[in-house]
Amino acid sequence: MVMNLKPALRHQLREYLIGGLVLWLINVAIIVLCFIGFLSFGPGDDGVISYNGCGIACAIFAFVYGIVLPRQAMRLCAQMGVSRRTAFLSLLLTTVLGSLCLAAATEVLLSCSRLAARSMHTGEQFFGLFSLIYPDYSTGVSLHIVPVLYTAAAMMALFSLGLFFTFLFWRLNKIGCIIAALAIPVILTGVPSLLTIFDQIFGPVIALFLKIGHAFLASPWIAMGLFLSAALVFTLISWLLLRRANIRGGTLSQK
Amino acid sequence: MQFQGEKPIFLQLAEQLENGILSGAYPEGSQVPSITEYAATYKINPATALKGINLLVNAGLLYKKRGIGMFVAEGAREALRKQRSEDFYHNYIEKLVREAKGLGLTLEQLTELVRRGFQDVN
Amino acid sequence: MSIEFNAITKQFGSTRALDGVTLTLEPGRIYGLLGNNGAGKSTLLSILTDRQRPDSGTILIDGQPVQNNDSALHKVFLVGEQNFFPDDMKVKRAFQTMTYFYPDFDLERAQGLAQQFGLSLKKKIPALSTGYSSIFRLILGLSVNVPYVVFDEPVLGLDAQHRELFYRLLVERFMEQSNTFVISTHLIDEVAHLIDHTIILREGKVLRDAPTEDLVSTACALSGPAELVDQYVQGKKLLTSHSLGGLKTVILQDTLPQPLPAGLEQSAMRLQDYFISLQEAEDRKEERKDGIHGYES
Repeated sequence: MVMNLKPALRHQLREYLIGGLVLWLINVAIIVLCFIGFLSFGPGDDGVISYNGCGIACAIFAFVYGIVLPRQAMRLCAQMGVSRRTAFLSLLLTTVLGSLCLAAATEVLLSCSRLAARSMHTGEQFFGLFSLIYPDYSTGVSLHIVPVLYTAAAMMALFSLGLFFTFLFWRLNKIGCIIAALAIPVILTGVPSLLTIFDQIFGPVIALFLKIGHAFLASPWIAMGLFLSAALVFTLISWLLLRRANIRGGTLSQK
Repeated sequence: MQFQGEKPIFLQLAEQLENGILSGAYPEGSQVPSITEYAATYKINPATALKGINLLVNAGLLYKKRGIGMFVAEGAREALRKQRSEDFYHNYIEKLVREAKGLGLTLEQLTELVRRGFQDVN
Repeated sequence: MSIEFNAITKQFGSTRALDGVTLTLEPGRIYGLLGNNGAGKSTLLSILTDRQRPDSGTILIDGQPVQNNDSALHKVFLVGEQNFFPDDMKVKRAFQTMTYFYPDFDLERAQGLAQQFGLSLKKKIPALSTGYSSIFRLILGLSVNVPYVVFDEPVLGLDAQHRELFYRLLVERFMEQSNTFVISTHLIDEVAHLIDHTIILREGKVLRDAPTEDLVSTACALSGPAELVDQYVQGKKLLTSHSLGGLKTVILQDTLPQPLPAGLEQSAMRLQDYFISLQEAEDRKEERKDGIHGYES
């Protein structure tokens, strides 16, 4: 089967990377400000200035783009004679390639900042997503590879979560949207409290969750596996939601 | 030119072309507008324009030069005038005489009326 | 080489938007898709481009089903009343984007047309007025080079001068490329001479599907003294009738033997008049079905 993937991927990836570049530049600006701050005012009370927003910003960025990008992508592809399947595939490739790029760029930024901090003896600390969760983890030669993969995996998981929410609300009518908007927080807060209230019955479940949590913190590789499984599940559900969805355009202005 | 609803468009287009030939707007041997020009100018379907022009081609009034276009045939004007006179006889004279007979007019009286018409109408 | 709609059905809640629509669109023609609001035109077109899925039925483009099929979908370009471009995209960038997806999109022509119509390339697409957004869409349709180009209400909000220009450009394009054009419109009079084939939809069903000339030439208006008209049209297929005092005018889906008896007058039909009579005839059929007595009873 002939696929017209290239132009769709090109457009989506461009959108994603432009957003990522802006985010990256803002991070650069913040880090530069950190240095300027240190050099002009000296260290704070605890003697250290630290910035740990880089990795978290990437993750949030991925989630937001998971919400923003699909609608735009599906519409444009519908206009341009590209099937919804190819459009969906272009979104997935965009998150894989784009997330890797942004994660790598962020890692480069962090490494440079740390190097600069060390050489200037400013004592500033910069954390990425990875170094925040695994401060003691060291991988030797591939020191920089693991954080990049880790951040990218987290971004993919959050992107696919955004994807899921977009297509879920796309498919629901007004009443359905309200029900979903209520149900999601109720489930998120209700299920954990139910588990703890009836801990006799759900004991094994709680134990399993704790085990997963421990494993998550113990090994970045297991964490990455969990991120990617979540990404896979949300992606699959998203596709099922999209498969028969009605791709509607925006109204043109009635000026 | 505005197309009216009464007659099929291709007939109206053919008639308009004939009028052009009769009036000398399209002299014999000259090129007439292409199908594209007709279709685009009057916003009509090219197939309709082709049908109209083909009426004239089939009647020998226009001829095609391959790759160049459509030209008015030699003698087209005279042929048209003859045909139009014939049409005039069928469409107007026969009707006129029938009506005159219905009114009980004689040939002399009718001739007198026609003469009057020639004087009054400029 | 054709587009085949096969028994397309689509239901929205309790309304049946499309009800077993079966049609074939042949290449190298200009089609008119006519119908009142809610007849199902836009739904049919969005199913054609796989923006919506039908409840049942299939669409084949040159023998290939449209669903999830890039090579089939790539052959159809639909511009409709909705905006499918990103909200922050400018006209210039939209043209550029077209060239990525359609490598033989005629960018120069599009830019030339934009100038001809006075469309600013720097404006964002959602910020265009109704008229200019129509112009934007029809420039896309006139510059893209695919076998089937579909315009859904192309002249919405356009002034008379620009409408004329559009029809002219459409004919020129048609002569150059001989792609198939489909025009879905309310303004029947304006396209009546342009379309070789007319499809009339009503309440999700195909009411007529025939060469335009056949439609108008097999119908006629007959007027004369009421008694004489009634007598003459007995057994003929009557669409509508109107009386003005003793003078009666009827629209027939039939041809009349010539010559007509004295006192009766026949006139040819414009497509728009035919369309209206047809709709009126259908309205009356429904009234009868619903037990409401129309003025004919």
